Amino acid sequence: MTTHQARPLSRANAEKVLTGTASPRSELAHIIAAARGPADSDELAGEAAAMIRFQAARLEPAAAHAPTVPKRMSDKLLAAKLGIAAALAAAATGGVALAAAAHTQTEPAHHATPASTPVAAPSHDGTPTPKATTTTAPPPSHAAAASAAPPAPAGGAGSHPSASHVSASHVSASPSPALRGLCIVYFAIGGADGKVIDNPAFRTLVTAAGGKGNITAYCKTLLRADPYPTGPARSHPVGPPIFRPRETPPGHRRSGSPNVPPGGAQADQP
Amino acid sequence: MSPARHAAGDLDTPLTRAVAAAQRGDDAAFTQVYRAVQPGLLRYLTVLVGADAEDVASETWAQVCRDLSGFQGDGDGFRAWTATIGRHRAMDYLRARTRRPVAVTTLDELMALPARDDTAGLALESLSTAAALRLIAALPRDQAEAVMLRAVVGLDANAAGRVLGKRAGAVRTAAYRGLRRLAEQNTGILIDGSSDTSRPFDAETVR
Repeated sequence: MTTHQARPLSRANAEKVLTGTASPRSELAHIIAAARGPADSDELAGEAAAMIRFQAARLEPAAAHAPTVPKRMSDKLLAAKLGIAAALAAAATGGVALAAAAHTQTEPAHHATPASTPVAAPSHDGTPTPKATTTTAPPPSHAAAASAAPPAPAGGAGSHPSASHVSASHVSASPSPALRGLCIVYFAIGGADGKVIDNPAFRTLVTAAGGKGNITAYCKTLLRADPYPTGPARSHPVGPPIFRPRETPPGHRRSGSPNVPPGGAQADQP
Repeated sequence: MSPARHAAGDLDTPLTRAVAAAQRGDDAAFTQVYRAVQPGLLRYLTVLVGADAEDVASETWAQVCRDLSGFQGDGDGFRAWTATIGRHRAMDYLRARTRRPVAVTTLDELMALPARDDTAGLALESLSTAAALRLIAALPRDQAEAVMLRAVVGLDANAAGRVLGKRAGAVRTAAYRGLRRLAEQNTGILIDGSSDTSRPFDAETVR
């Protein structure tokens, strides 16, 4: 205990703390500043895997435009593939985190404009107007995260090869979680049959496995042997789960409802 | 909507542009988007699900990539959109986890983690991001979420309200209460004593 008393927090000061404009002299401001501190490279360990998902989505427009008009692969087939991947991953990790993958697929696309954004002129379909009015700012940390992203200084060069290169170099920086992510994606896209495997972003995995033909075996071993890596990506000393998931949280509607309103965020009505 | 925040609004423009370019299939732009959004998203998910946030974030990005072409909005809208998807995935995860026994963690246990042994008090000077997240995660969930969405993900009260399915006013109140509780619980542990009160720091009051 302490006798050290802080002045009661005013609403106005709370707003300043939340937006990072408060004086850094209070404990509270310190805590919040730490919570929004600069990005750590561990936090970006999933970058290569995310890039592959991004590229895979581009190759499989059917998936991107769910739930209607499957083009290259039926939704069912894709869902089945994802289901297999999820089952595999779940089996491998003994966890459930990835089980969501299967039904994620069945969820309608969130064509969400979380309506905070008074979208300037979405006149043409799907292409947001870049000059949309922006009335709020990210906290400074976001700017830092965006520009001073730790792992790959070669970042914003703009050409595809450089982007892939960036991913690859990042992978080598923290191999275990990144390779694990690549393996999960590898299974999710149906293995080496997919043309995505030729993507440079997979190069690290191909190299680590010792060739395309070995990836399946390599990944199975990796996921089995290292279900919860204690490597960098897991090292956030965040402690055990905080919330007791004893009940379905109020306000969470079963995902998969076809009635997600245009402002998809509102699917969470209490 | 403080003036400072408004003035800083330009900072988000690069994200707005990057999102638009990523929607056109630009890899480098996607990398930029990922790096701008992932840290805040992951921290929010960490407060929701704990150490498995990484996996939930991965599922979140999978869905973001799949649905990206249908997204309409600017950079702020994109943050809110990803947070909404992340929250859904986190809830799925928590629901699934109820089938497994879960270790119940008390606040005391949480507070007793690391840092305790090397300092008499908690040196906020060097407070790590993870430790700060732990403190926030120990708040009641609605307060923790409101604080995270506003302070760390960077949403305004309206956008955070849409993520949570609440009115902006309710989010403001939850965030305010969360901050107040956070301040009350951690008063006096600032080692150098530079708190915002005028009292001199008294070393004996620090545990």
